[in-house]
Amino acid sequence: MSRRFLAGALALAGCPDEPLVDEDVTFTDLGKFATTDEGVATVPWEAPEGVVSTEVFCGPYGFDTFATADAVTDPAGAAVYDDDAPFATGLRVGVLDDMLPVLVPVSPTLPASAGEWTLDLFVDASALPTTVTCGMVNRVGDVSADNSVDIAIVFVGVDGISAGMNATSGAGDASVQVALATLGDLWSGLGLSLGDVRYDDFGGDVATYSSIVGDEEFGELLRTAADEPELTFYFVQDIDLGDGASILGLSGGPPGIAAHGGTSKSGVVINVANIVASPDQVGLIMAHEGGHFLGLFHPTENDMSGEDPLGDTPVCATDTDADGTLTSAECADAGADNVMWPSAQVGTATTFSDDQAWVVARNPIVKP
Amino acid sequence: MLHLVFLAFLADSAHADEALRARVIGLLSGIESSPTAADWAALGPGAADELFAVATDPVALPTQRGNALLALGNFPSPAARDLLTATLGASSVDPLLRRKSALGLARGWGGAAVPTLSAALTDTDVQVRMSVVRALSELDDEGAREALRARLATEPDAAVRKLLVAGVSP
Repeated sequence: MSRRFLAGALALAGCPDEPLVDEDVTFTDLGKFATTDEGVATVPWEAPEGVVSTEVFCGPYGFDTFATADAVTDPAGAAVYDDDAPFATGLRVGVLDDMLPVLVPVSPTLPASAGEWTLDLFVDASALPTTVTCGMVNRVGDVSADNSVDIAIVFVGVDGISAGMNATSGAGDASVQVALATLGDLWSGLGLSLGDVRYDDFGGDVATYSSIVGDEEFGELLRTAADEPELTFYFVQDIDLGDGASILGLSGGPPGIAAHGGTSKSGVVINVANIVASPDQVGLIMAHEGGHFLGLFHPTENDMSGEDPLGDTPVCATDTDADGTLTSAECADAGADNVMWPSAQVGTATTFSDDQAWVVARNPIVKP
Repeated sequence: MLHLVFLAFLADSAHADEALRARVIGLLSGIESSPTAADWAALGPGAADELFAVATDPVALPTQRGNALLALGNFPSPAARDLLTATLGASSVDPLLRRKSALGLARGWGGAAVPTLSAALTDTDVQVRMSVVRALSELDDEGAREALRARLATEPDAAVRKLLVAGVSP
């Protein structure tokens, strides 16, 4: 019996709490949680014996509202994240609109462990108290240094850029295939290869979502991701954050919500305006944004506002011209060669670290 | 001696140009972030020449060219306005560049760009029309609202109509 058929059969049989996503990956609906008048809700979640990774997520609370974790406590009762010192431990939690995921592990210094974890969620809503729905995904089983990840490419009205950019012709489109080859080359540095590659055409409002403007359209597009243990890349004509300027990619989260579709953090959006001129660049952006989805962060932020929780990625502090912004040139020997460098460039950003590979190997959608 | 000083000056100048170009390209190439008006202002007026060079370079990446056209709105000049107007009106040009030109015109010339933008509301490309509607909607200008209202009566595309409705709302 195929894994997908088995999952469907179990779902139809009414398996109550933990519908099977994959052999070793389960999704559990944790139900609704009401916040206090101060916007805080305590969300316990249970990681099973043999857990490899565990992710809890809560929302939706809307695109004009942000939430984060006040604190996260592990099964031993230790505070493994404190909003007052967000870079002090091996966990990172974003300040995110609509949906907040918390993934463990994002660093070898804080592996997943069995037992009850607790998220103290803070929702900065204009009307309090409010109610959110939470869920969790757990992965158990083997961990390997050689892994694969299934991906879906959803074309959102991009056949004007290259005629083959649709579900029918994508497998034969030269630009798409070069981008995928580059993605595969770069991810090999993580011990990660491409598994099944699925092509699909976006079935919704193509005119609106082929050029993403702002966080709301971005999140709405990601909500259309399938409920599968795969990484969904949406190929669009353009992305701008609302100020008119094109950016090259965005990931839900980071980290993304793994193996669970239908949320505003369930995928990655890639601007493919440059794919004919530079398919390698699109492959690099896929590797970078896909890395975010799988739990990786920038080694150092361009504005020096933070750093990833990993011990073997360089921290750059060489702002030679003291303009408050780190450039690739300033950090040539301190992180600019890493694919997760915030302004990664083709030909320069080609590496991942051992710790980055360790994190990705444990993500719920990665298969040993 | 004077000769050597002059050569050193030329070398310094070339180095400065190279550094400025690298800064401009960096701002045009953000993966997940985009430059602010303050970022452009910090580069000084010399950045406009670099933006012109990228915007008109046929081998530059489309997103860099588009972002250069948009950023020329931060350095308004007659030459920049001519370039943006010509790009917006050229139906054979990459729609991405035409869309960024519309937004750049609104950014740089405000209400003075309304006639040019209004004329582009009938463009055959849906994405260009959407960007023109966005550009007009961002202007606090009665002429812009009037143009949006007029287009609402004939606009055939649902997505553009949705933006038009939002644009004419108070």
